[in-house]
Amino acid sequence: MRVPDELAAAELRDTDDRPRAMRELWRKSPALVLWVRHFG
Amino acid sequence: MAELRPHVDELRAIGVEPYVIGSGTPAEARDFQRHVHAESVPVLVDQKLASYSAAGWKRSMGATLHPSSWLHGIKSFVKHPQRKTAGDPWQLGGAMIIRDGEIRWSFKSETGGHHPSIATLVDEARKAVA
Repeated sequence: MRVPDELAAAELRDTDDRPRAMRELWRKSPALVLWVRHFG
Repeated sequence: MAELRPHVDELRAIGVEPYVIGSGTPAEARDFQRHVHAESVPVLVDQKLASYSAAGWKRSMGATLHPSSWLHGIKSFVKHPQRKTAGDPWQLGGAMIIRDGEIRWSFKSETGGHHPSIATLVDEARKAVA
């Protein structure tokens, strides 16, 4: 199944508050993405 | 994420890059990264919950507080004492392995503390790159 466009387009931010597009995560290599319930 | 840390090199050795996404602030993400000694794992934030929603992950007070989550929570707390909740408390998570824009495997948390084992994650990552 292809990654839905809405998911690929989601904008994230890194720990330095810089924007990261979701689709960048698997551009160079396969990605294991874990969405956590919360940081804690 | 603390459970993932010892397996990061193993994942990278097979060509899979791990990422963690949370709903807190960038500062909270950095603090979390340091707290679990996982500075080498990229931690990203999605305060708008856009990726959670697009991925189809649940956001529910009932599911988050489901009795089955209590045992998970107690076990988790014993292993890794939780500090404050940083992020949306009712947002559940999930996991995906994505290769070339294709979802090779996914897991949706149904209740708080419901998550795949590390062995499953590593096994599915191996299958995705085979």
